[in-house]
Amino acid sequence: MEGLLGLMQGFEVALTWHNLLFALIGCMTGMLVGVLPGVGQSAGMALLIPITYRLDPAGAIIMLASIFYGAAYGGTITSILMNVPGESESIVTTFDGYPLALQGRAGTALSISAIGSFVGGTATTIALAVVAVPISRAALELGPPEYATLMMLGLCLAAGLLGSSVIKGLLMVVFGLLLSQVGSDPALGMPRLTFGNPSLIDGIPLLAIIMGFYGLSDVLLSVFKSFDMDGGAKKITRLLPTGADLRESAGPIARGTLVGAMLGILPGMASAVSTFFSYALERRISKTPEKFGKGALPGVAGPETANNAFANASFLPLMTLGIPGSAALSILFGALMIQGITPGPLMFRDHPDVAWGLIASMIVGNGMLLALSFPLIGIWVSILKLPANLIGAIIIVVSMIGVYTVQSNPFDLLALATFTVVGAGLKWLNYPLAPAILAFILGKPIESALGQTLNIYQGDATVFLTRPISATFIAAALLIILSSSIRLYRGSRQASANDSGAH
Amino acid sequence: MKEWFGCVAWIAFSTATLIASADLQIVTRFGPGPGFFLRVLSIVLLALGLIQALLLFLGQRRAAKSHDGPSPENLTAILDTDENEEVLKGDKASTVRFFLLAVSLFGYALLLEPLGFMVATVALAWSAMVLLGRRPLWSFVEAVVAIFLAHLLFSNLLGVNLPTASLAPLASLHL
Repeated sequence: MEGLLGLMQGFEVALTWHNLLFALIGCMTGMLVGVLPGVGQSAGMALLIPITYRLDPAGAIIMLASIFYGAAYGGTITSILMNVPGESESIVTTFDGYPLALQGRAGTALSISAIGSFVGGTATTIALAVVAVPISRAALELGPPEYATLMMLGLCLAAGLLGSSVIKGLLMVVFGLLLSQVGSDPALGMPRLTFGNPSLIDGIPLLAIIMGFYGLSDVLLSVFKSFDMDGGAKKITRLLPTGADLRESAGPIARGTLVGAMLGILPGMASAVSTFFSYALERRISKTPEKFGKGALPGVAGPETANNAFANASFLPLMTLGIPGSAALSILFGALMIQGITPGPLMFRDHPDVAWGLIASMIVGNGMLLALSFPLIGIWVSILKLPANLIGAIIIVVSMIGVYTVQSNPFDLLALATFTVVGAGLKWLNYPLAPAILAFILGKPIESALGQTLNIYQGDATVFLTRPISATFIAAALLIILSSSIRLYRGSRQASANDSGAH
Repeated sequence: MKEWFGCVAWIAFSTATLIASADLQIVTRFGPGPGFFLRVLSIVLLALGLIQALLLFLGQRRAAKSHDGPSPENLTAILDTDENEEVLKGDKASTVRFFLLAVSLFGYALLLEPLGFMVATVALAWSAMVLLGRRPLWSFVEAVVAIFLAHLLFSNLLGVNLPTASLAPLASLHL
């Protein structure tokens, strides 16, 4: 009941004309960055952060959140029409979305995706509104040992769940944590790794890392890439689904909502896992599993719904525990901090307008996406023909101006240039950047929680293992790292066996 | 070779942070000191770098790992998908353009205040467009128009205080 009252309060914020406009700008920008080659969800959000400084906190966060879930739908368009998944979570959509497009059913696939995304996103947001306050209250009961281990569990999920190397994920987590150590230490205020530079006393500028890693490094690396996008989009003949299409998709949409919502609430969980599970589930329970991979509508409806439900559910750990689950949510975390709002259990008490406004805006934004997706598909396809080099130059200039305008300090630009080169180097070496961003954001809270624990328990580190909740979190973290290592080791052995068999 | 470069970089970086944090207190009478977590993290990073080097060494003796991309038949390969799957095709010209782009970013950071927003940003936009493959003359026109509009947006509409040149000849022109 409290949640629904809060949601009503949120609609008062979200339905003001200026917040509706910010949500619209965010949805359009999100779809745009989802469609454009070489510009991801995180880069799109990072680029708009400087523009949000001068907005009120609710408007700023509503706009950035709209980019977040708008980009998820933008990636669908290229996956279905061109067989080009923007991000890893869209890979599954290409399996059946592109074959459907080849059969002349691209419009059906896109409309079912839009409907599924709307249903999944809206249902998850309502559930989020209901459970957010009780979870926030429960989170306040957690002590420093539980908090520290929960955050570390999130980092282990980010490092170990997805990717071809667990060790690379862990290296990036530790790298991010080390970067968070630059600046004055939280206990005594002593400068660390500042090398006498006063600009580093407050730490490395968050925006410089985010924009360097996610905005500019991709532009720099684009000189090594080729974009073959022209003329590849399949034609859309019929946009609206038939009654049979809707009946066929109803079950996958319902199951996709459940899968996405349940996985999205786990901090650090990757969105691609939700689409993977949803696809595997649909194929397993289908009466015609042989159609999967050849244009099965449930193979699009389920994963697309799961993707959007996941995106909306992932706001729960951010808003109730202060733990962002992905790089894009880390950017939102940073934007909230810049606005003077600390995401976490006290957000609903101290900033109810922002918290509830954000939740209500997700429902409004999902409706906007549904409405926008049909009439604007032609425009998105034509945008794909924009020259990548022009987009790259715009990103460079906007990023540099944006970072400078925060503090009018040229040092921030030097930091941005440095992290652009570092980010490009890490991408070239195939290291994942999301765990580093996540670790950088959580570094100071983890250090504080660990420090408090060691203070309270007089240096006795065994407390993490003797308290049941923190011990469970540690066991879960170890289990994730171990199981991922075993999965990759087996895969490697299998590949080696196949290679030697082939020779 | 690329992977070995990564290992060496991590080992060097962790060693550097260990040296840089050598003067910081590890424990104070209030609990962990400012150097405690820094030291622990540096050691963990060093250990992970060494483990990666060991795995690489062992991996090179086995058959090279091959990856089949994700497909409906090979669904679990999605879990092996890396964040940066795109193939980078580097030739000498691309590498030069990459480094010149990086230099232009550092140059902008150092020259923004001496040259002022207009001149420095036009130079950055133009060099970025040319290095990314657009025609030089046309790019110059695009850069001037775009930065004029950006100045209007940031300075006039958003009220951002953009720097004017501190160098004498440009400062006298209020650029």
